[in-house]
Amino acid sequence: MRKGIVQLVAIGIVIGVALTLVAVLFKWLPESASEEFDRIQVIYWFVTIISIVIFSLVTAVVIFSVWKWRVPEDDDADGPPIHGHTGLEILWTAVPAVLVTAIGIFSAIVMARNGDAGEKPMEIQAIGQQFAWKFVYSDFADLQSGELVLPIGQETRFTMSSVDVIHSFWVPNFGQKMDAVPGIETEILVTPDRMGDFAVVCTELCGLGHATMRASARVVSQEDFDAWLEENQT
Amino acid sequence: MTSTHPPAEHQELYPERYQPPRSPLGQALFGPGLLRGLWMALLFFVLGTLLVVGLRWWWSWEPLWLTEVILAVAAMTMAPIGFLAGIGSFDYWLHYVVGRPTRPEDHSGHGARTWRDYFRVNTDHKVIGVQYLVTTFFFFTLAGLMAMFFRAELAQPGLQFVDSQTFNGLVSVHATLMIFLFIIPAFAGLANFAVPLMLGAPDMAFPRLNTLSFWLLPIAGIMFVASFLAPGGAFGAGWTGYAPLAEGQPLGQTFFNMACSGPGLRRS
Repeated sequence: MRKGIVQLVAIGIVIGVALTLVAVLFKWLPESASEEFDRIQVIYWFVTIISIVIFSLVTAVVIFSVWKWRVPEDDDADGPPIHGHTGLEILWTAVPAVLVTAIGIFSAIVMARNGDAGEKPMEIQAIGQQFAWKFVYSDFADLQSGELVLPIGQETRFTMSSVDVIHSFWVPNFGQKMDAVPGIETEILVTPDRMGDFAVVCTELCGLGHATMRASARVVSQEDFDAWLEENQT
Repeated sequence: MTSTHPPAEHQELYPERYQPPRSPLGQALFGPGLLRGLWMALLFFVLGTLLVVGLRWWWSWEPLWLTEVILAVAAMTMAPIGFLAGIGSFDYWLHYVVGRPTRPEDHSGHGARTWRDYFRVNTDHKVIGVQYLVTTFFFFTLAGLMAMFFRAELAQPGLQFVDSQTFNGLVSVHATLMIFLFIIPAFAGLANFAVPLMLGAPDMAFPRLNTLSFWLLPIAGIMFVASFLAPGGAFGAGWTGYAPLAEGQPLGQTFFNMACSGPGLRRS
């Protein structure tokens, strides 16, 4: 009995370590460049850890059972009847219920915080058309730009619209994506927290030039942003 | 367990319910089967064309010959109905409606005896299951080859083999086949085969509807693939076909719409 439990735990640990290595060693997500994506990545890892633990447990029990209690080839008997185990059933109902509730509460908190525009977000209209993005800085005399330039640490509200067909605004490193639908205004919030050059891509098939519908997103310091405004405002 | 197969003495007891045997040529041409399906599809295509041209002539609409309308009405609505009637999907109901003796023998008791039985209307759930699985894997392979093709196109920058519209068409037809001709019906095939066995039931409920439902599937698949032959090329608005983009697509989009809303109804 004790030896069996040790073997079970050993199998579970091997699987768990292997899964953890797969989760950690590969780069599954784009590098975060916004506060929203930071929060999403925390949830992502929270769920991943729970999944690794449960998956290791279940596979360890399955592998152990197959290996340990394998019947001889000529044994066609049904085996002893099982009458259930109330304690075990309560356990495997209660634990997942608690975990799912925890994930739900955690996700709701993150979504509420990601959707909270704060005191005074910078307003940018992102207008999609075949096959380019146009960014209108409503707070700065409707400055128009084909390049997205954002000051670091500034909460920004993107209001999406489209002049022709459905597009979808996505900067992988911001972790936020939203459809730009003709006739509807949709919005997302982004607070960049890392400087650098990123890509704006269209992720809704929008016609022949869909693959080339890209723009650059540049996150710069407040001074550089002011200088860029100065340069481009007429 | 009850069997849907009529007992052997049935034919002697009720001779009026059995038609006299046809000559081999007559059986091939006028008996239910793929050959009758073919000529009835052509016949219904001609009827549909006459309907369109006739009505346009009656109301003096110009031009008399409009390829888009004829394709939508004759090729995509009438011809499939003709094909289904030809292979014998409606035989039982039509015989019942016009008062002719219905034939109880619809293979439901024995499944397939030869490989040819898989190309006929057959109400046996196992035959239908195999028909589904073979059809879905055929279109799965076809759609997979399309994926290989547009991947080959992407291997180098610029355009090597196809233009942008054909590329989007390949992507769209690939996705459409994978969704409507593989993911959804592959499960139907498995379920048709396994579920009655697991329940201990003699067959699925409504076996004739079950058969009809299967035979709509290859029609939809052929229509999706045939959109490549339409003037202007295949539909390139993705398998979702979202409205503002799909409106501007060439005639191939009609093939998508008709295949989804006609034969595609089988999903509901």
